[in-house]
Amino acid sequence: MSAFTSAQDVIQRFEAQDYVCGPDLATPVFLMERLEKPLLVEGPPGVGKTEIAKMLAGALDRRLIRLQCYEGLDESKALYEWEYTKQLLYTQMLKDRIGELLNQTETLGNAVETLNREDSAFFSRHFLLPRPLLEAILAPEPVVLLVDEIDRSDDEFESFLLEVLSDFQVSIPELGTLTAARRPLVVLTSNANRNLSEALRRRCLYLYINYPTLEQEIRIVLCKTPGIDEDLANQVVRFVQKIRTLNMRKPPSIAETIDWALALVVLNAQHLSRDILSSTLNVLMKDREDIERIMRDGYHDQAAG
Amino acid sequence: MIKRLVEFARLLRQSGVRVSMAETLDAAEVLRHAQVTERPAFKASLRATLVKTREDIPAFDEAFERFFLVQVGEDGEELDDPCGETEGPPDGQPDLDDAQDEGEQDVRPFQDEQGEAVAGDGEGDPADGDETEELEGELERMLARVQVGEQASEAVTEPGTQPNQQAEDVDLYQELPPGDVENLYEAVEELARNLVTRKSLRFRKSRHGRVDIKKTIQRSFRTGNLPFHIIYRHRKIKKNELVVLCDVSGSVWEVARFFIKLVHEMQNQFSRARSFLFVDRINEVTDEFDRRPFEEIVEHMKDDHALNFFGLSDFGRAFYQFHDEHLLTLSRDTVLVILGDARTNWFDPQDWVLGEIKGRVHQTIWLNPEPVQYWDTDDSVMSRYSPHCDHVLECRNLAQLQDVGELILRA
Repeated sequence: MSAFTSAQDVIQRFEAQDYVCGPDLATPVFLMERLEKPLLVEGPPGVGKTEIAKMLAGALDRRLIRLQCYEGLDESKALYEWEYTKQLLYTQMLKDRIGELLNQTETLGNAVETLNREDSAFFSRHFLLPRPLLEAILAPEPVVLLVDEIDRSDDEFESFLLEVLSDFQVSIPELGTLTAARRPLVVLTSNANRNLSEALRRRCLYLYINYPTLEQEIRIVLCKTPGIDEDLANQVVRFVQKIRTLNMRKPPSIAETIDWALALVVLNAQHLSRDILSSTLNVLMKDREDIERIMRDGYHDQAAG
Repeated sequence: MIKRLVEFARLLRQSGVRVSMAETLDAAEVLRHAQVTERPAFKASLRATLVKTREDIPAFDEAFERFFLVQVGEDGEELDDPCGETEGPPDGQPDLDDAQDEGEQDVRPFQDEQGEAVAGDGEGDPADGDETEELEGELERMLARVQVGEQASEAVTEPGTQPNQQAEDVDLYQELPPGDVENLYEAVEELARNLVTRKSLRFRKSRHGRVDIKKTIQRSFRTGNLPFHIIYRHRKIKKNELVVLCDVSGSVWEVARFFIKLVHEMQNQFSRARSFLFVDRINEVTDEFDRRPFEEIVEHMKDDHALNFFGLSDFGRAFYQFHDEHLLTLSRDTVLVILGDARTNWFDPQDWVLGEIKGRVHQTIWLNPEPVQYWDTDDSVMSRYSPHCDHVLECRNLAQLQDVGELILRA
């Protein structure tokens, strides 16, 4: 599919995939595609950060390559590895051929030279095991690269990533420098577990997603929960939004709102009541203390709201 | 247009947002693509390029409103108005409110102008490029009248860098103005980051262990003497458990908070990090650290009754209580760090407790925020405690705090 024509276009194409967003979100997405710059997305868990990359891939009809970060992630896991076993296997299978080849040589020096000429056979792309980053660079068609939860990785990986992101080329000593044919669109997400470096931030466009507004969230719920009654959706979202203001240990995310709404639909609930709440609240809230707190003193004014 | 943008960037810098040259260039680039016709899109475009942390968003919003809404008299009379007022406020902070007050006489929403411009263009159904050009012209003319920008650029000072540079020497053992505290917190964060990076380098080296020839050959017997599986000898680095006992009574509070901050930042480098605060009784705050942002905890601590924040510190009693309740949780992997001035207010120091604890833990480190020459004066009993510690260090500025951090990570 063609590139975005405007931020409005982004909104429409995202909406076609059931992702509700406003211009605040669409503009940076539009710009990142235009400027071919990485987009750094921050926000509380479960507001749809990762989803942006998926929507982007869907809207532009590109392949999504995902790199999940974790503590201890290093180049060999993110970039490439030599497939040693395969190399060895090939050497074994080609033993006779090699013997043949070397039979014709007279001196040892000659043999080494001959073998040297075939060197590239063993360090060629065949034996390279591309990991997500290299995959994104080598892809013949433009792709969307999602670097998920970058804040989980170590500092040194972050600086390494910086290098890759700045010119999308990688040097592999045995092969030389590989450059991306088409620059991938890069989406980085972060939960702010750790402060990212200034340098990384500088190179990216920045987007902070917060919890959606009441209207937006109602639309999201209606969108994602087929068969839900509009009144119920309204009630659900009001309730959730109220809870978010209560300084819970783990505030409910959008994903959880949707789960909860789905649960209510399955249970055939028409409206929120104390019984229904007590039996389904664990879909929404994932912390025992929070649940107790809501059941104890939060219910009345929230249901009224 | 570019000039105005640069001025806007300067205004942002003045409000404490770090905006680099590259980011300003990005913003300029962005404006070529963005639909400047719509105010929200225009704002979102600038925000995506100029602001890179969540904390800076409110400052950006404010600056944006100020810069792109306020207009000063159209005939430019105000432009001649000397900017003297704003040049030298005593505290070095540019006084932008004044400028705004002046401007408010003629505040006209950006949108209005914009709306007219767009409406005017709309009739002719012009090509995209024309519209943008027209708009840029419009913006240019409008911005030319924005005096705030002018004044802002004259009053620009380089913010924030000074305190950080000297941070290492700042004596923590004293009352600090809140601004400095903020800067120091940042410096401590930076420090922790550096320390942690160094530590994780060690971990990384250990991941890339050397080839274990013996095991590789042994394993190769299975595959007809071909070494299909290479076995590495990984260096094992064990994560220690950190236990922090921190005196937070009035006398050492100023240093304690920075130390707590450091511990807080380094937490994940340990298999477990537990923190206890005490004045005359100990109080575990490990859970608090997991749950709440650091600044909140600090505020909360002052109101904590269990802690008796304003009481007299009693080391003996606190140690004894710790010995009583938590001795069995200590192990050979535990690094115990005690921060305190060892001033017992003439209470019984109960130093034997520390001796017993020492036998159970990997290392005991005592940090004293007082200058060495004051140790063992009056009610300070440092020398009673020091034989039971592996390290006793003075800790009263960032340089020393860094040494401490290194020592703890290496322990």
